[in-house]
Amino acid sequence: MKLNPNFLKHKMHDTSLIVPTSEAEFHGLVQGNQTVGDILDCLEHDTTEAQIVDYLSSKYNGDRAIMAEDVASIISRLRKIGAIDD
Amino acid sequence: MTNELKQNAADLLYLVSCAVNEESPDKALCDRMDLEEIHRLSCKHMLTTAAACALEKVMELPRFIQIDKLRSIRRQVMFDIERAKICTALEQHGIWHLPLKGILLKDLYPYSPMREMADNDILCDPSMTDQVRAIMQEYGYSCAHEDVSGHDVFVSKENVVFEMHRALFIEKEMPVFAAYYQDIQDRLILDADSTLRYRMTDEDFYIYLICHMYKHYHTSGTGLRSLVDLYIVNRTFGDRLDRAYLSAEFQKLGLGDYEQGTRALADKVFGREKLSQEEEQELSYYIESYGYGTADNLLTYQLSNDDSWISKIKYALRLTFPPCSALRVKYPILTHHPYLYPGMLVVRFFDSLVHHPKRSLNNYKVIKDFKKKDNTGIYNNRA
Repeated sequence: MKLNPNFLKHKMHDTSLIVPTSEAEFHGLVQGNQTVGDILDCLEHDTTEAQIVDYLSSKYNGDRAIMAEDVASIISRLRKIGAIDD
Repeated sequence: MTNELKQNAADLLYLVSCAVNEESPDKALCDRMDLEEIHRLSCKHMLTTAAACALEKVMELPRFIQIDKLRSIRRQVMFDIERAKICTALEQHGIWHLPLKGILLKDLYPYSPMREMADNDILCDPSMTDQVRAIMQEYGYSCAHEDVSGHDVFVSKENVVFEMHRALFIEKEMPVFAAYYQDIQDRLILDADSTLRYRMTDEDFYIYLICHMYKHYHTSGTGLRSLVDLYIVNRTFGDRLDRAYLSAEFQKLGLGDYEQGTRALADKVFGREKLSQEEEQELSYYIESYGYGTADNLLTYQLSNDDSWISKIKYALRLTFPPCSALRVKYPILTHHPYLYPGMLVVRFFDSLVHHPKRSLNNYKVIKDFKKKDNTGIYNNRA
């Protein structure tokens, strides 16, 4: 899976943002923290949830199971707005 | 100015001063505000996001404000992404360039979307205009206006706008400023991480800010956002500017009094200090000028605030028979075939009658109805 090209990622101050282009059906703005930014960075290339969790585990200290839940939740929300290409 | 507008403007300025000073507004004051009217006024002055940033510290934002704030953030994101692409392309094609105005000012604000922008302004090597046009086309931009006041306007289907400038000022509009900035590239500094992207010294940046502000102030007027910009710039690096050098340069440009007075006004307004009667009058000129000025102000400027019949007839004749250089903007064929000028005057006449008859007639009606103004900005020296 990777980020749909009709969604653009950007960083502004400490916030990670996803902005849909006019081609996307979703019309809104998604804002998130650094972790969301890390996930979006992974989604620039074809990846899997497990690979994203591996990356976050290497970058941060924390419970891997909780990280996996957070990643699954964020991916699910992105999928709902059409931001994920499988 | 009506009492209602005065109050709403005071409330808007209060919110903006809280936003730029990163303070929380008084909740009781905010609860008493007419948020719909303040929002309407903030849109006219492009200060919606700044006001929203203050308000959301003490209340949940009404939906109509929240939507506009998010739109503003989205616009900035799109502008940032596209600008990075275009500047990279300019560099790859060997075109020196200088980002201007809002592109730089926004990074001085506590939260960059507070500084709303309508477009990306970039000065490019004037000898490479054709290449710049080709690059913009390659990146999906269409040319909305060509060669308007020394710049081309490009728009993408995402409504990202670029103004690609060939000069900072043109002689026809501001001859003193145009002469001052004639050899601008000699005074620029290369950006650290680029071989062709330039920036100005802090002093030159400040001088340009004042010149650009005055250009609008002098003609159609300029709104409250200009005062915020001035306040922010002085607060950010006012202490390290060479004021003796600036004073000398502003004297050369005839802007000494304007800069000093406007800087003091901005400091007082956003420092929430009491204004003198003259300062209140000057502030009201900004309040009633809105973001980029008004058609009414522009007419006042073009008539030199003279409501005599002779002045009005002269102006009406200039409107009816504009010079070839002005007509060229709408009819680009005149660029290479200026002998068609009389014919294009006739085409223009029928074009107006067919496509916008009411607007055309209204242009003459507003001239006929024009009355001399009392308040045209204290630095405009209009009779």
